[in-house]
Amino acid sequence: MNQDSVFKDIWKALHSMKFGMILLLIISISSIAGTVIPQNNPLSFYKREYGSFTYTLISTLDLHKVYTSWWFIAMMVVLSINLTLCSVIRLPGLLRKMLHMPAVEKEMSRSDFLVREEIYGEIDVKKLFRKARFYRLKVQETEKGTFYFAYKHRFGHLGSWLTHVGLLIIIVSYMFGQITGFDTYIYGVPGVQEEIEHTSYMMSIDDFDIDFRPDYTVNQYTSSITIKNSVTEEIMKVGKTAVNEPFRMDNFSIYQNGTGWAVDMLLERDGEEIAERILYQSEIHVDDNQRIALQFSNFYPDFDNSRGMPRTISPYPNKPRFLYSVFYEGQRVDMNVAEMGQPIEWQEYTFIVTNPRQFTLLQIVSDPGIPGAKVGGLVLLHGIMFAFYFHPKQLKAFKDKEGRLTIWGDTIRNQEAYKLQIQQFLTNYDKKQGGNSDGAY
Amino acid sequence: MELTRYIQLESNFFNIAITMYVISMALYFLFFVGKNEKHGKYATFFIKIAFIFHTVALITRGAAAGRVPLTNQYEFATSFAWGIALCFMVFEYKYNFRAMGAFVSPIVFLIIGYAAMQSKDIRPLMPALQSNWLVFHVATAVIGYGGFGVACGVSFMYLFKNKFKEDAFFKKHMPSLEKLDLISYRAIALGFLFLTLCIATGAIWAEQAWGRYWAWDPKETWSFITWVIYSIYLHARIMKEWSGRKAALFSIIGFICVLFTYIGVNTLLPSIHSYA
Repeated sequence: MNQDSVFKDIWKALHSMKFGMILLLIISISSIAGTVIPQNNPLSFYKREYGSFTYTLISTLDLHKVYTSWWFIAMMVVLSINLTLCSVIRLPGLLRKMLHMPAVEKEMSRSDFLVREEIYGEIDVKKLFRKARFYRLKVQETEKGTFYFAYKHRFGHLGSWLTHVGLLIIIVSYMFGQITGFDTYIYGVPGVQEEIEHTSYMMSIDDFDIDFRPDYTVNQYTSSITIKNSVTEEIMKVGKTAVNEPFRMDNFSIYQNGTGWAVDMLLERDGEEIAERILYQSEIHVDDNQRIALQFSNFYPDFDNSRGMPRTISPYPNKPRFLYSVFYEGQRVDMNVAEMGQPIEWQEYTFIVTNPRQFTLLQIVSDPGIPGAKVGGLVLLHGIMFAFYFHPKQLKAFKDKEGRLTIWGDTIRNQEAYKLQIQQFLTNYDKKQGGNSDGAY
Repeated sequence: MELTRYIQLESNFFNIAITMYVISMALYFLFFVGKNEKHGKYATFFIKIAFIFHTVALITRGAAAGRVPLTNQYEFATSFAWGIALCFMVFEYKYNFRAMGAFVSPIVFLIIGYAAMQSKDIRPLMPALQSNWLVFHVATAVIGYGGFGVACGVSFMYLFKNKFKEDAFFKKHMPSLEKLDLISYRAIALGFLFLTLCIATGAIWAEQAWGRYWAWDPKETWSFITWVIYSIYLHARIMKEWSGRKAALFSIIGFICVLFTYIGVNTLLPSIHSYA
């Protein structure tokens, strides 16, 4: 096989529909791996959880991050190339089909009519076309007679093309968004102010409210925030973000993502204060050259231990307790549940925890691909509608100099139904006119 | 009216509907095997009655919950069965081939049977589900899955058709293989359009609720796989490579994917869609 034929084969495959279909099938089958193997954990997790062969497979093929692996992205890129080539190559032919008016001679010499009938007598052809719901009629005078041509739902030809273009726009927009956008988190209690990574803004959390129903289920989480210029501290925008109601800035949005408990923590060494901070649930405070650490493991706002297991009976801080662990020189030395303000002592160190309140977790996302994905989705949906429900239909007629009218129709999809529709229409029309027709179906 | 009274009422309507569906399925089966026209007429009558009670049950649940009943496993399963029944009745009316019922009604029964096994408790909506997009997202899924369910039944019919000797009864009530292929295609086309709408509305909603419109969550990934399976089916028909038996088999595989996307993902895979 010479080099030319290899390139020809690659070129042929790259713009063939069959190749695109096979590629889509491979992409979908390989994406199953991402639904059964937990994603985006450190490799040590997979080493611990799976056998050595499976681990080797996962680490070699990047199955722990399927959707961002080089081979998955490569397949998406090749699919985009396939869609682009298919769309570019098909467009001129489709436009020809859509805009072309058939030549009379060629039409009259055809023998492959879907449905054809001859009608004699005085007939108003324009009225007949209108009755058949073909309103835009083109008329062409020839030496032998008059040619009438109407074309309905011609956009149907573009249905499949638009579907492919829509999908292409979505894939490209998604990739663009992934490359140029960012995704970051900020958490804090009211009063906290933080820089927003990747932007020139900072955000202060003004308030955080959780709306509980009487049965203690959550109706809504709402954070009140202020966006300021990082340098000048000029207020840019003030507003609220809640679940399903993101806070929109020009090029990023802020989403209410989660919540948890936070406390004020004070650390003393031999009675002298050495640290004071807000400690958030699941955090560990490590201090004094890593000699001492306090882990905030869990929080029980309305503590109850009557069943032998610590639990909370309401979300309100009526009887707040927190579950902690103390680490001394790298070893866990204490683990217990403590009241607010109760000193937790180990050797020369004393922790005091007070002021429990809920913090808000906010997600900041910038995805410049979203407008493109919206356009792509709209194009894709229109394409599917056109492809399935707008079947291009032609109705043609020729009236010769003797007054004989030949009428015929064509469609590329749902041919049997269209044939029946035209036959029934002509039969009914013929009856109303009391005319004489000679069917040749 | 009290909530418990509403729930009792809904439960009664649901039980009547499920009983009627079972009767209808049995009658369709008797009609098909015994070739008795009367059984067929009764089967069509009973499925309509079942559908009416099913609709009333859904309306009652909606009134009880004060929202559209499309938010948990039970509500979606019962709506899914309702969608298949609706699509079946439309297709039966349009094509007038009663024998389709013998193949589609067991699918309706399968899904509503699954619904009957789920908890019927009415719980207030979690914040992520309090969105107008929920209605569009789930309603389009119901119609889309309904179309795929009908296509699956018709595809089974296609595969079975060769097993039976052609006689006057089958000629009257069972479409030709070409017609069955066409009905299956039409049902899949409907399902495909609505599945695409379901994915699109889901993406818009996901962006508002979770900050991203596509994150390869297992539910999203399996919807994508289902979408690809049916798009391959549609392309294969255009290329005239797969029609008839192969297409029928593919349609059945597609519906297995639909069922996995709905039931399998919720029960077997961890997903932020686990309430659906």
